[in-house]
Amino acid sequence: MVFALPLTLLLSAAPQLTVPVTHAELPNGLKVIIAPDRTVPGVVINLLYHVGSRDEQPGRTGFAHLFEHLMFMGARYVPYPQFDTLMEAGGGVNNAFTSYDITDYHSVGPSNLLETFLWMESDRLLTLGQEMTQEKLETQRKVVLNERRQSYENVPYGKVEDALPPALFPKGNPYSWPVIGSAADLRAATLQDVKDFFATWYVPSNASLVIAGDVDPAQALALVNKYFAFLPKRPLPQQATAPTAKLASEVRLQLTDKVDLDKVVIAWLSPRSGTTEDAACDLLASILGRGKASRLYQRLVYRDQLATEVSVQQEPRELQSVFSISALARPGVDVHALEKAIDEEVEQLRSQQPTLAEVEAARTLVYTDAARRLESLVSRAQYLNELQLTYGVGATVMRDLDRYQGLTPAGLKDTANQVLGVGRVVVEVKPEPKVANAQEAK
Amino acid sequence: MRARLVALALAFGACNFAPPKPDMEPPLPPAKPQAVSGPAATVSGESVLAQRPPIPPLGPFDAPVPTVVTLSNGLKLYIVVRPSAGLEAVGFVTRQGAAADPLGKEGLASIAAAMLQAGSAGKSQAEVAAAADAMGANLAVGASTDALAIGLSALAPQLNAMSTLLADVALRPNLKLSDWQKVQGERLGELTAARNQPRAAARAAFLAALYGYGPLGHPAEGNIASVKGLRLADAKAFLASVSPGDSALVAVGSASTEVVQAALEAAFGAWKPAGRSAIRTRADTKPVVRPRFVLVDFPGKPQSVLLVGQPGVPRSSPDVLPLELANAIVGGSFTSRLNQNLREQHGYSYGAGSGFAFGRGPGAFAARTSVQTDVTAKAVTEVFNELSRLVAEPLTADELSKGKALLAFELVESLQSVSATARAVADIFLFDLPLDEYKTYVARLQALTPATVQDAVRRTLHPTEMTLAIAGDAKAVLAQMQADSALKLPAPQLRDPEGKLLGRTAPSVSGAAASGTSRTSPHP
Repeated sequence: MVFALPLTLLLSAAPQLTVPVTHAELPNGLKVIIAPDRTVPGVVINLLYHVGSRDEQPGRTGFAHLFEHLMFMGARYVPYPQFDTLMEAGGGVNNAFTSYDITDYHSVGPSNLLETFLWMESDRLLTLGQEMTQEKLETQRKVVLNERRQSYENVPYGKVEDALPPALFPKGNPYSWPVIGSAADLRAATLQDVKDFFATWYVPSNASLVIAGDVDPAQALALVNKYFAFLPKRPLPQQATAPTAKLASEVRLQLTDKVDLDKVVIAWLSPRSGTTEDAACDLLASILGRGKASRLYQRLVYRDQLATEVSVQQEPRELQSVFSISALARPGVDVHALEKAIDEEVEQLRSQQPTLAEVEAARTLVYTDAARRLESLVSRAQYLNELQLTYGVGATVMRDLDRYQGLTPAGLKDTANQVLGVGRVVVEVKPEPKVANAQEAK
Repeated sequence: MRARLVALALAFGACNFAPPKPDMEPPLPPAKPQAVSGPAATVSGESVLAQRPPIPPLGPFDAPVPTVVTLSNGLKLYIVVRPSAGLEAVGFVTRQGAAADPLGKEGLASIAAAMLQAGSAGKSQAEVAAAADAMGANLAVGASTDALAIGLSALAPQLNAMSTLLADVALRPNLKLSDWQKVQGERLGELTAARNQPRAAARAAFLAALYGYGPLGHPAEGNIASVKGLRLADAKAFLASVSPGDSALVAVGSASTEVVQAALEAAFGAWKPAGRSAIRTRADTKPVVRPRFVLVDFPGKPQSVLLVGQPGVPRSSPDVLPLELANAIVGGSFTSRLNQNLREQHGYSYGAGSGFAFGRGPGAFAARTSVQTDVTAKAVTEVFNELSRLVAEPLTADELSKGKALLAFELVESLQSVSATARAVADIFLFDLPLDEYKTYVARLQALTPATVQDAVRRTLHPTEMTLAIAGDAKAVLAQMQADSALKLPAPQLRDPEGKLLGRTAPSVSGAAASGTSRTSPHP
């Protein structure tokens, strides 16, 4: 990573964040990025498959993520549980995540494990489907159902995650169900589903490989060829698409949960990832909700003492993004008081330009965040893969950051007007009615 | 996500920095050609796959040794220069944390830290926060068991601005009553929200069971009653006890030693101690008879959060490294025994793990997991089985080798970002570690043997005396525990989600005498 900083750092001038990389594409369509960094004796490989929950079939919500788990259940030459045991024996570790749009795998460890990592990825990309069994599926089905319990069902307000997607997007839209899926659909998944999904989506042309760390680019590329060039070329699958969804008016959901405090989540449909408007929404989210100087923190948490915490985010997605505000009430504060204060602050942003200082600070935070993302090998490799997915081959960090360069207070006001309008989803969560002596009553 | 094996946080949060480190011998046995199972190779590439790749030797990792300079007022400054970083992290730490909270004033250190973010040097709370934003800096302030810490990081040219802001926040808080009321109100909201979280409740009950509701046995954030009782004067008194002799600065990033020293001398050099320095840690910690089983009721919850553990050892103990290695094997990695058992073999859980929280005091060890409510008793049995096996049998040679490799690379990873490196360097000061703690880490790791690891484990871990904390549906959990005759646990102490003892008791479990619950120390 190279930082070229201007001699006099002008307010908000973008740092020139440059990551030297080598690009390649194999005849079977696998895209490759190699980002050498000899300063750390480690290496990461990040393999991004362009398939997410949006590509699931009806009745099989949550499948892309369940499949992610199955990728660790062994293939022909690295049978279960050797993907993990061989890796950890050498000091390496791995993880993966599934989103609406992608499934992303990484392995990181000492740089002498590079070839081992590539070998294991190649094996599972070639043979995982043939080696899949009902037993493997059952093992990970249980794990994923427990993941669902732990991360959603056993978490206060976790049910909001289930409720939002179908309220934001019309039935049939591929973003109209949550990535984790429903427990019933997870239970319905079959071995044949697994094999079909693998055959369709896990093909070299639908994958993108980043290698970052202590490697010689030529040697690394030779290893990529050794392990991936023989994989047959397969048809490029088509990701699900949908007409741009619109919310004509407000949709209001009222939920209860085993909690003591009210909570409100307000969500809007917003511009897709990679656009200038997405960057504008990102700055709006920062001005509204990032840190203790932000407008909603100041108003709701600090000044008026209505909220315990507030968060705002622009969550970028390929087809259409989601902009959301969530606020947890103070004890005794009603959800509607919270909502009213949020509405006033949103309206303020729609009717008056933010200050230049707010915009500059938000932009500076974006630039600094990007520099932080490049610090560790794992996040650097993931960032490079996301850049390529979003902007195409050869995309640089600056391509991403340049979107923010021209944004002005006036432009942000316009974006606020376009995005944060009446068409939105409001989720109110209130405490379940207390049963007297609840513990004994159960 | 596939898995999340989060390091044990407990109340010891920021002080739980336990890096492993790298050098990494080649730990794998020589490549064995693997038998091809399944269909015969149909693709030429399968002959490539049939051959397990070699793992070449690895060069050493040159972990940083901080340079220590002393400012004109005696304040120590730890510097790591990393020319290519582009970013700079600066931090202030003082050896005064939640362990110094007086009885009944739990949460004092933490809320005093929060007051440092509520306006400084005549600037309002909002102005301070906006100043950090304008630099692109994340300003983090908090108190853990043993320390109060302030951290900032931003692009390297912001060094001078960050240094000034750091000094304002650390040394010149406004401490106005109007801000105190806001900070106290916000904290009470957070504590109310935490009562709904089974994980936080299990942790609070566990800590209180280990230490009684005293210096080490309360969440750093305090509890609703204690925070309601705190006054601005308490926070002022706490902050007045912070002095240069107990404190240190840390800087990691692109700037040279000279540049860093000049910036921080200008910001901190004039700071004079207000009074006598005093580390009021846990001199008043009395041993408690630990209950074996504590339970926080969350009716109707689909999972039980389990913690099984006991006090650990101080960060200064020579047993820290062998215990870290043992932990890597029993619960500190994906292939750990606990995760393999509870997640992969039994399907009880999304993941299971364990960890030590080392501090100036004994800290804690805990195995932890969240399991489906209907398998709670079975999962408890498996956790105890794994912990007992760890004590009973030495690690195998393969496990020892794996643990060394994992810890070695964890050190590399933990020293990648300037902020994480600054935290690691701060630990050197907080826990009186040698300056070359990380540089010598791998050599010390490599010297461990199954016997030295097992000796440390046997000295430290006593599964038959460990405490089980559960946050979950009490009725369902107790029915299972009572039906399981192998579980030799007394009736649980019932605790509230803040870890405080409730008056009621629960029916005994599996006929075992309830005597384990009767001699616990009193709680406020």
